[in-house]
Amino acid sequence: MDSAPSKGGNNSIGKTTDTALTQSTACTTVSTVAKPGSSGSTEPNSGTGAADAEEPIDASVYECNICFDIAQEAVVTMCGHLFCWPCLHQWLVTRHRVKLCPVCKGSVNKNKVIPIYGRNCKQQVDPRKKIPQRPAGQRGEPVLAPVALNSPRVELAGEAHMVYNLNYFPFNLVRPFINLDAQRPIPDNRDSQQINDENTISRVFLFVALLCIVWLILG
Amino acid sequence: MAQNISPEQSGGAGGSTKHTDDSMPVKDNHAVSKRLHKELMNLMMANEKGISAFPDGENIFKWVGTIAGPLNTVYAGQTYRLSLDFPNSYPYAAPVVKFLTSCFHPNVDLQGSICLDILKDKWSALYDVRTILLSIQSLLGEPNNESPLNAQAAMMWNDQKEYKKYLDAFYEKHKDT
Repeated sequence: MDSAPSKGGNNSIGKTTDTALTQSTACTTVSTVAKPGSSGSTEPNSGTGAADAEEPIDASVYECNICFDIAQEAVVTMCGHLFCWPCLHQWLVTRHRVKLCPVCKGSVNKNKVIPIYGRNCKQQVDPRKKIPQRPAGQRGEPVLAPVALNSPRVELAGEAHMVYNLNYFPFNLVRPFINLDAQRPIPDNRDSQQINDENTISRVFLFVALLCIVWLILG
Repeated sequence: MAQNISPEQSGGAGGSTKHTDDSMPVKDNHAVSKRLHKELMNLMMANEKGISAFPDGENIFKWVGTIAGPLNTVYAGQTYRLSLDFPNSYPYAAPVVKFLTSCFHPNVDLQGSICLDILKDKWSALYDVRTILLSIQSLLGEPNNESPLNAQAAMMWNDQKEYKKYLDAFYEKHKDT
């Protein structure tokens, strides 16, 4: 795939994906993938200010290749493709194995991406330094109405806090065996003093419990 | 699961969302619907011949598309309806595309699932509804018989005359769907 770096902007997609798709995979490959660049021409945004006498500048050529909006915090890859840095970053994060340019499938390296600063760009901060961003909003998939049998359970599940504690006697006797909380993260705001105290109390209770059992057996 | 969390610890629910952010990034939904709206605009302006798509009802995350069978193939003259289901992580993940109309094709199974690499491992954030539909349209005329989902169709493909005959009978049978 790296053997086919794109030469000129969006229109090379048909050709380059072509070579990319000929790789043998389990799935079907298509030889003709539409050229996304051509859709941009349908939106002749007037140029911003400067050239109104000549033919208007098509602002869509400065659209990010991922969000299809005018690139914000623009960066350009070594293969010449324009993205918003947040969009490209997200794309690179979602690709776990190989980091590829979404347009030409050439390799993309975070350190070899060039930030673009226009004339009126006030703060020339490298956008790559601002990531990670704030967490994104999340949309839950709609849940179908449950079948009548299940409805009481659904109400239960809606309850926010269902904390039941197995730390105290006599449940703590069996807790090591049922191993419910094997991967439970150790809360970091408990200092070692507190943990020690808890352990001591736990041992005292264990001792009392053993005494009771022995007394019961002997009695 | 038993979680012995004291109330002040359970209050920090932000930690869990941060974790999911690392493993499976989800772009802001506003950005997703914005892009889908933009695609819809482009599709309507371009008025591409042979393909069309529109959101199915209120939900911008579910679309229904139609493609015309490519000319000079056995599928010419047919129209196919497809459903496109966009995940919240679109366009970082591909939409789920299925045939709603029954389609007898080597790479489409009887449930309508499509085996197409650009919808799976070869997905790119650049692809949109238009390119997906055009790709599926060209897939109709150029199947990959190496990895068929419908083995019968793959075997019959070589004899185009027979194939067309079978196809006509197939449509007669599935006229209502």
